[in-house]
Amino acid sequence: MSTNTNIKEIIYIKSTKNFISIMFLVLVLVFIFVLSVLLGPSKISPIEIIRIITFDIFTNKSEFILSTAAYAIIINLRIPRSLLAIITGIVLSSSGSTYQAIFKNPLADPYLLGVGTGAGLGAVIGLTIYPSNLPFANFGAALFAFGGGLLAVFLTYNLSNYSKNLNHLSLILAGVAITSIMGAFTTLILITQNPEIKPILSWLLGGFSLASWEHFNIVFFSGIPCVVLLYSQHNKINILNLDSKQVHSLGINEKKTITILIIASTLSSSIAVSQTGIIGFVGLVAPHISRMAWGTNPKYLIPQASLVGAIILLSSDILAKTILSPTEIPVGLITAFLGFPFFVQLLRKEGDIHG
Amino acid sequence: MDKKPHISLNNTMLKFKNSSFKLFANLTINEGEKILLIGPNGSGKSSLIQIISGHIIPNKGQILFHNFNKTNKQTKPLSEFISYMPQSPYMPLHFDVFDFVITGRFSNKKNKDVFSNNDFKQTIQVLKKINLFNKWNSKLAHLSGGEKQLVLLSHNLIQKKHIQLFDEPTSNLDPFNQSEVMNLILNSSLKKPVTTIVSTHNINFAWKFNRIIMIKNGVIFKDGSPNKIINSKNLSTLYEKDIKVKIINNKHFVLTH
Repeated sequence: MSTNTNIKEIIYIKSTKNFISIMFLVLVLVFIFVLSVLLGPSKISPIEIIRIITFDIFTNKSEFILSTAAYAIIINLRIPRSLLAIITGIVLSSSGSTYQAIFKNPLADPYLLGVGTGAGLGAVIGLTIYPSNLPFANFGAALFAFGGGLLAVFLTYNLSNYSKNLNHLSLILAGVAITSIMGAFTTLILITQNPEIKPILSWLLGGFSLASWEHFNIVFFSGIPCVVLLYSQHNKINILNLDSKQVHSLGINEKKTITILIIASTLSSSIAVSQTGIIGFVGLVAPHISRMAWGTNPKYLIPQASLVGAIILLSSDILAKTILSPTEIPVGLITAFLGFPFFVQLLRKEGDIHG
Repeated sequence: MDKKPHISLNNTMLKFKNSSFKLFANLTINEGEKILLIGPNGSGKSSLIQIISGHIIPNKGQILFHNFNKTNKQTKPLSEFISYMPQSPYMPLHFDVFDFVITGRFSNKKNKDVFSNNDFKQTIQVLKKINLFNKWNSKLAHLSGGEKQLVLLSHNLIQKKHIQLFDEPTSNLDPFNQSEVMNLILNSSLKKPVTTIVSTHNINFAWKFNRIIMIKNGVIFKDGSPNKIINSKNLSTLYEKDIKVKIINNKHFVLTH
């Protein structure tokens, strides 16, 4: 075979196939989004939902007083909830793929690095100082969550460098240690400071049941710039997977690049945690699924992982609100149930995939 | 070959933390030279290579690169003219061969965003050269130690730099692959003269190079052409072992007990 036929074949596998996969994932996501808007504890017929949505888009609402329960449920509950699940999946997965490259560790994700619990602790401190019944409390919680998440990732990174033989396990062990400490402080604050422990506990378990447009807006407007920044750096992120010496030889200032990327990943995932609670495993699982299915082409990894993450989280939320309807399960529990076997499988294959 | 000085190390000194070991080097390297660096374990071969590659900043002295200044007198970043193959680096085993090797093209690109069809072509060519094209889609995890070494080598060859540094490039290979790798390193397809520095423990390759530098305890012990300095006396002193050298067809063969 000549080099030219090879190029065509490789470009097909590396680019065209990946591009088709993105189209496919978008279609699946749209389908699940529609399903998610259709499903819920109160029965609203699809025709009515279409009527409500077209009414909302095409008419001047001030002329009509829309006070029907169905309208409120669709426009103010189900749609923002589904969109929040999508944007959270996107944010967690793109941060997850970035962390995996930065830490040169395919097991890294916001949850296992302690960012989730750190952001949770930050948010709880924020809500204790500035209770949630005051205006802009969500913004306060988001800011504190960012602080907590950044502290956690900083501590995890330095703790793992303590180990002389830096390997995949030392980072995960450090993450586990930081997660337990952050979790312990959170519990301590909740027990001693907060009389109304139950709503915060259920928020900590992760879920979209309280989702509103405000939550969505906070995650969207903090998350999208970060995800765009990460995507714009996809080639550098790809190089960061290599040995530090090679990264340096290829002309990348590793420290500076990593600092920017950690801030962007931690900012977006911490703020997502502050609005949705701690949702584990999505950031780990989504990049792995996309790598297994479509390979490691850096140009497509972040979009594929983001879409896979959004699909997983939105489907998990559908399960969360329908399995025990009308009782809701925290979505964090569903992702933990889904993530656990996956994680075990990864550990089992450690010798195979990770040397 | 015209003798243009290319790299000079002027009274370079490197200290190590928690050790009294020091590395001294005073060295001029000319354009196009093929240099083999030999010496016992821990003699400072890797450190010397990393001083040249810019990974280690020496405590004293300076290192100068000639003819690499842009017209506006601003120095080029080292990554534009030096490639460096480290000794047993960490490798992302979830990468496939193709995606790993193509990252070598990164520093050659003006537009850092996309790998072009030309990068694809170069990657295919280098994989064919090392006979690994049939495995372009395999994960690094599924390669043998020797194959990984070849992948690492092609990651460096594809950079096509003016100065190429290799730290023990043949350490994981069988004798036949070792010779193959040395030939790939030395027979560059580039039109411009390439300066190559290779560190190794395999002295039998000395005849392929035009300059041998022997390092012992952090100082340059002997420096010259293989015919002048590869002999039983020098090698026995260098390694503190009884070593005999036989010369067959102008090639040096080292005999040990």
